[in-house]
Amino acid sequence: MKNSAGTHRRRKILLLGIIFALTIGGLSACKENESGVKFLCSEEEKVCAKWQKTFTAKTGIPTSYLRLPTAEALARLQGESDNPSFDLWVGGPMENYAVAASQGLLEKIDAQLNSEDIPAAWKSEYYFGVYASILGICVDEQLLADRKLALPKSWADLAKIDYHGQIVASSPLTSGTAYTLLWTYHQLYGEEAKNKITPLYQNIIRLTHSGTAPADVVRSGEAPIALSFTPYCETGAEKLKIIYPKEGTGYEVGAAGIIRGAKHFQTAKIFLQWLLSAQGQEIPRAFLPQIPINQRLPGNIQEVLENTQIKVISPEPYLAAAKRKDYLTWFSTEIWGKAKQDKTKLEKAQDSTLKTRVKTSSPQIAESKWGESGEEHKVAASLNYIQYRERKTAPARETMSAPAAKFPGIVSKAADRVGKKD
Amino acid sequence: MSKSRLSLSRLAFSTLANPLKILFMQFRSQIERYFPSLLRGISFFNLVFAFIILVFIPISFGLFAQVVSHTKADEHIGIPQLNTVINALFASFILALSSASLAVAWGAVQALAVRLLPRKIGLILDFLILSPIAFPPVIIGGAYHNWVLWGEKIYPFNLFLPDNFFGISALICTYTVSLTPLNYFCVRAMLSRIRPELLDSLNLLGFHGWELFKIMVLPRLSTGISLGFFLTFALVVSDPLTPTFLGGNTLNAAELAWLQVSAFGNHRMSALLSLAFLVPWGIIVLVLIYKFKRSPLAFFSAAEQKYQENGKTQRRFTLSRPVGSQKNLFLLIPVVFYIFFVGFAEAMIFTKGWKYFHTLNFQVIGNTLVFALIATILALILAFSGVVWRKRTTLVDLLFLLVSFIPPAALGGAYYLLYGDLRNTYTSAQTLLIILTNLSIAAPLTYFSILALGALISSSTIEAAAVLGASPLRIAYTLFISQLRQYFGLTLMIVTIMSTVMSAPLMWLVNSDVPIVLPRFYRLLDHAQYGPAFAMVTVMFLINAIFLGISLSGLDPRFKRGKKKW
Repeated sequence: MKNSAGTHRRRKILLLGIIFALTIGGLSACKENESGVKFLCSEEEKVCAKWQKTFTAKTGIPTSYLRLPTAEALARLQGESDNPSFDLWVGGPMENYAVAASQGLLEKIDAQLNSEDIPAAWKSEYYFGVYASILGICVDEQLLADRKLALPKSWADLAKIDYHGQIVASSPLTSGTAYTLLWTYHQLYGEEAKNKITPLYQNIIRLTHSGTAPADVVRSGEAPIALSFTPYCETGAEKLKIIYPKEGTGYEVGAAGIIRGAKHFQTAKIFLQWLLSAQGQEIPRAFLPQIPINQRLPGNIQEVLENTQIKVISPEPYLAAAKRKDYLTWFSTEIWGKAKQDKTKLEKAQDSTLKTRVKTSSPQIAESKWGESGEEHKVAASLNYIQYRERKTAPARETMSAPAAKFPGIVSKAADRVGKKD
Repeated sequence: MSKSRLSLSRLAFSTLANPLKILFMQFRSQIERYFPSLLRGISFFNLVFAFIILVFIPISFGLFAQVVSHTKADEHIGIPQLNTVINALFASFILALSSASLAVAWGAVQALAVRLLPRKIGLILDFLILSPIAFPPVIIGGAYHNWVLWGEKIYPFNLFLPDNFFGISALICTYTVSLTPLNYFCVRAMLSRIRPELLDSLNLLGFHGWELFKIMVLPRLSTGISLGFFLTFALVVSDPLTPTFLGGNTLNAAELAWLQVSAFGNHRMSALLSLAFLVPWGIIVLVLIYKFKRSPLAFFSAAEQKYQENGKTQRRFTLSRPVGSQKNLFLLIPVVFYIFFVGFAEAMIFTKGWKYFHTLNFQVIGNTLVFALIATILALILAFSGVVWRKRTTLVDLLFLLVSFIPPAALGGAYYLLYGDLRNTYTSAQTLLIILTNLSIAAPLTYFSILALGALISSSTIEAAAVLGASPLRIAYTLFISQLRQYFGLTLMIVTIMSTVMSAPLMWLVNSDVPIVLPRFYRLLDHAQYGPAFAMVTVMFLINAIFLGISLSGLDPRFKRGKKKW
């Protein structure tokens, strides 16, 4: 009896001990670093962690970070503008920094930080570029072959009905990568961009929150094609085939800046200074084949763009920032807000539209009708429309896709250009 | 010398200690005298305080204040137009209606069917049917999604399987399978109130078949069905994660509301959407008040009855004979189908999850359990506060019922708008917010579960103790401790399941890198990392199974017989 009572007591003590240990362990694990630099990171998780560890090891300054997709990070900054909980924002396409700066969410950077090592196109008085990645099409060739589909070679190919339900991309509402895709279309097709990209969105089976996720979704076998920055496709368990669309593609310049009202302003500046250095800029290249911006480093973005055969379009962050609201509102209303059409319906719509074309006696009349009737948007959603538009507008587009080497000095003239374009 | 010093110190101690002891005794006698009133007072304070913090202030000051206040909403990016919002609400309500209707029908038929079976088989079926409730709907959907991907590669299966498991039909299928157990439990708890001796009496009076069903079963069935339907509706309409991953481009109001705070930072639109979620809740409130006026709510008044069988006292969790329905074995077909469907999902989760066991982050699981533990203690205090007051008025039932029907997405918006700034000013405040969200969902469920499964100490035992001279404090202490021990496992299981399964209101308040289970699911699934997500949910399922064992061993005396408790 006594023995049983003793065992019972021991069990109770053991149970209490486990609960106590769990409580202490759990709470200490959740305790966040209240001192030191805190940065919002919109880069790949591994890169964020490496930045944190390396900087702390080098300087002894305690550092912590929160990884958020770019658009979510921007929303977070907007939400807590009165009392920011972070000192820095690192990673994510530069146009989002332009938006943040225009809304007064970023601090000005000292002249000391405004280093000559960064090309003028990729710095402003509020932020500068850290790394660059080119947008591309990532393909699981085996899965594509299993589904008896040809390798897509262009944006136009991806809009074909054959690729319905075969593409994964991120949502522009949460991801900076996705907005780079939208902006690339804008640069390629101007005001036609929304009509052009609608059939592509109709083919997308899943919109992820994070821009780094589509490549992982393809690796899991859910779909054969991902639209993402190509470094995310080159790493990981399975390397995906990368295709650069023949019409041309855009690229991001991942930036960094100090948040207005940062509680650790001086240490934040030290962190930025370090990001300018070779060590800070090489870290993304070590994990992902991202390209450093610092022009003293070999293989920097200037060198890559001058030597590449890929048709690359300069992202023009100021213009991209100015059009961002328009495009996201359009996306949330016209793409995200519309129920997905199934393949059969799309094929039927395509057939009926093709019949209309056959009935029309003169192709020129048909073309002018499509161009002027305002029905393009509806037709584009259901038709293999890109090929038709390509034939119609091909010469004009050649001039729009700017050669990579010709970087416009957009920083000083940005405001004027926004006015002219809009 | 030393001896005299010792005696002096003893004298001094006794001189000081005795008056203190007398004071303590007097205080204790006063406490014991006024204990029942004191207990009711504290309970009343608990209930009112909790209601104000968890519901009243967030909804009134968080939502209404934000809607009427002037904000520069137009400056925000990605504001959906009014027709998009209306379409999203319409689509979500249709999804919730269809999923809840299917889930309630399937759950009710199964609850009726299982009552036909012997107790032992019934217990096994209870476990199998209730088991999906421990999995988040998005994980169940993920399992089916993986089955479809697997089946596409294999010859005869690819002829029957769809191209992919996405869209509105995938969502309805996922919610139906995931939330049928909730309806099953509600109907089962109601049906368990039917006393066998009453049925015998009705049989003797000449009532059989449909008449008996109409008189005895149907009223309880309809109560269980309505309760399950409202709960399912509130849960489906509030879930932002499952439509995000499985809905394709299907518009969803909860996702829209969540994005307003997580991606757009648009407080006003978030408040408006949260209020829109409260519209169906308002209708439910009116219906309940109307019903309450007609006849007091006695949904959960009867505890699980004890009965004598073979000279031994049994707690009737499942009935050993058919009650209120004929022995129609066709009723078992939905049970077989359900177990088949659930088996498919769970098989995928366990088999795929097991391979990724090495990827588990035990810190994430440990934190979730710690927060669940703290919320459990608070939920038990609230539930017992309700139980103490319940003898006087069924208003407490109504209060808990209304809180449980509030769509968690509306609470998410309200909490974000009221308490969201806390996480910015002091990052560790996230801990408090996690516990708050766990508590808001778990407290009503704990209350109803305790009532549905009944009090283990009979009133005759309490009366006997009073006759033998035990003070009210002593009786209450005994009652509380024994009840606490019995219900701790059950409550811990409920809270842990809720913190694993319910994405709202938690996802409105936590950062995506907080090391607890739900945000981790979100990140893993966004990257299609199904294996690690399945591994994590498998471990959580095993932990919940242990809690279930603990609660069953306390609740059902059957487990205590013999050498082994199991």
